[in-house]
Amino acid sequence: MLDVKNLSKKFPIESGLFKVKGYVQAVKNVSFSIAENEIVALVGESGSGKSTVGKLIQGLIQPDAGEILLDGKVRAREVQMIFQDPYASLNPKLSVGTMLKEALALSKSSQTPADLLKSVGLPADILHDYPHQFSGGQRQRLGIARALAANPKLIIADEPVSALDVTIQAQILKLLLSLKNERKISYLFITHDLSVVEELAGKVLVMKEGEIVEQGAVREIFERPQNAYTKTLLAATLRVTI
Amino acid sequence: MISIYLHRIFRNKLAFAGALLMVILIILALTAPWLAPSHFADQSLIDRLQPPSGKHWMGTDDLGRDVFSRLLWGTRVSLVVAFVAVGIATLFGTLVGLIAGYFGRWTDAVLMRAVDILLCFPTFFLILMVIAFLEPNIVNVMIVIGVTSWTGLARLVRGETLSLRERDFILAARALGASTPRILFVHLLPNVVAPVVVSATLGVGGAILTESALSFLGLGVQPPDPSWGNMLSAGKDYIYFAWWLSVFPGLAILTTVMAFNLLGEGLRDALDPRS
Amino acid sequence: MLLSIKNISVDYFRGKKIIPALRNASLEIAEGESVGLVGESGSGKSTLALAALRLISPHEGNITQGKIIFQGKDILALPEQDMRAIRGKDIGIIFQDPFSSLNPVLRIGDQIEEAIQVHAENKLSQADLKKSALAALSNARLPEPERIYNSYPHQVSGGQRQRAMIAMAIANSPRLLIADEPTTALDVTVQKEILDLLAQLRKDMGMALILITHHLGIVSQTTDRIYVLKNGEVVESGATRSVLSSPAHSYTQELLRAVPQTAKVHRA
Repeated sequence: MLDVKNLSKKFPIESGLFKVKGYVQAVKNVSFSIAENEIVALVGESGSGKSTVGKLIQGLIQPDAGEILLDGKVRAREVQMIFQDPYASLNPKLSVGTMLKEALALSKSSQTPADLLKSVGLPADILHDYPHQFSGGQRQRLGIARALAANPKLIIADEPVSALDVTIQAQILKLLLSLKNERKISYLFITHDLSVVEELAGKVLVMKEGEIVEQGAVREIFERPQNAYTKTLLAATLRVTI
Repeated sequence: MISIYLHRIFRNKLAFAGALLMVILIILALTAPWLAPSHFADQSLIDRLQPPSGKHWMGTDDLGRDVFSRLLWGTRVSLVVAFVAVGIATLFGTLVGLIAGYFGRWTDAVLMRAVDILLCFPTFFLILMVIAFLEPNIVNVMIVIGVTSWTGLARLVRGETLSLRERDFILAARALGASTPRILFVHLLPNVVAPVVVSATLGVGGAILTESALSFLGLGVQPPDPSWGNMLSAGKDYIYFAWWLSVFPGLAILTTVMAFNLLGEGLRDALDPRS
Repeated sequence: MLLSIKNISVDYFRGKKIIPALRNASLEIAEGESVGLVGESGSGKSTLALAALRLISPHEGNITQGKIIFQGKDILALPEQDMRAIRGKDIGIIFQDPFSSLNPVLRIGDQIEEAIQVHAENKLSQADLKKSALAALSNARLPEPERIYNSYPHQVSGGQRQRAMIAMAIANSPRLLIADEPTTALDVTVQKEILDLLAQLRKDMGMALILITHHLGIVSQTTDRIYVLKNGEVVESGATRSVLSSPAHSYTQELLRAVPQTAKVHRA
């Protein structure tokens, strides 16, 4: 369904107003695909370029080279994003109802705000409330509701649970999984937390310094990692000994 | 959302005092024609230069006109000039700030250099120059003050916009397909409104002082229309023996500017996004 | 017993409201031990650390009851001057985000020297200060101590910043180090290095460690005993292995359920 071919993006390092000191190659020749109803995890540490890949696929920034094909051509609204920081991802001045209505209007969707709230497990009477009245986990659900307004085929989740408490993380991940099954949504899960990857994803892409150093089925990669960096990442994951 | 702000304003003593004074001034301005004992142009040459008394609460001027009445009528001038001038400045400054902050790069560079150039001129002299070319009347004064005082706000709004531009909720709006005007006015603007309101309130005080100064110099409101500034100007020749001609307009300017400053300071505390 | 906290309660002030942060919390740590404080946000784990060092300012909140004994001294009864002598010397503390804990406009070397000078008995010469600072940076396993010494916080990586913070905290060889979420803001590979560093320092210096975190994997690998906090109360405590393999309290069980099955490893 989603095909990414030879994607590249560099960012200029600016000094002063117009001088450009050099370039940072954030994404180098990245290629992968996501099938329908699949969860693909994109793992890497900070600076690996994983967030940039997410923004490129979404259409928020333009690639220097390469193609992004969604069933042929990308129409931005069919790809939606959910973000890491629940405190920054909602407009503090818009009420829940206004925000959802806007999202639905922009996507020309026939759903109602109440439908969206129901899908994410939130009560319907919060339409007049504002983001600051909710907890981190609830805000994240609102962010998901907003993304669902566009009836996306693919949701790019950029560290969607890293900022949440551990018990809430489990709830949100469960929600994402059930939405996948109900609405046949694929996910590109961008994260650095390998344990989450193991639980949820079918396929994993390991990124380092802008390149995909290894990709494959989760079971395969975790049990028989080929690349040295993948091995380092796996070794660094701390497990709970019980 | 507005109710939350109103609630905060009521709790903040400074803001409340300022707001109260402002409301009183507006009421005085609106009811001046009925409240004033006499019309501002009514002359009574027998009663020239009378000190404050039971009949004329603030005395009379050199043409026998009741100072109190003229002061009340002057309130209308000061408030209208201030609100309109600040309105123009706020509108223009916010727009420029939003555009410069959101589009960045060249747009930002060009707009901010324009601001820098404007800031090179001493504001008051700029105003004097412009008025000297145009006819001195109340409308021109409002326009000129508006057009020369938007720069500070533009910079403020630009700064806020720059920091808000990268926030996730803006990205989310773009991801949903929101158009640029929509993002500017529905998403960014409500989030920069707080400092704009504070700046506008404080700007009113400044606009009143500027208009008073211009009228004092004879370049603003023309007689017989009363403005606190031209009343001060007329009173300066009699200051040793008819103190009431200068003191009352002076106090009016003081009180009004203070009211708006209090309101602005109080709003700044009340609207602090961190609380 | 190096540090003994008994029945501590702490209230925070928010405007006119009083918010209870800790209720009757107790904790003990012996010389050289490694203890974990586990809890989610709002559990009061950071508050416990701040209370132990009397770092809660009077307008923020206060300790309403309890006793804190460190090396036989009653912490709550000490004059502020003596408390300052303990902070940074006998007890060190490092926080989650090294970027906001380090002064961005001062060089790292200057900040470490300040930590040393403040606790030195006499005024030390610049040469001595620099020597001690570089020694602290090497102890923190920084590969180029001289370069880090001369750099500003924004010029080094997140992992290096955290090591610099650790260097600052251990520069005076404290008996106890409190680490509040020291690796949460760091990449997974760097996290492991920092934890290994802390283990090494404990061994070399015989230092006790209180590790505050929400990550069960971290406490599992690095602590001997843990305390589990929820809403300001200690709901369970004991040897790390036992608590994690047979949790008694329902909250501890809930925390363990939230860990993906694949991240759990059975004791060989």
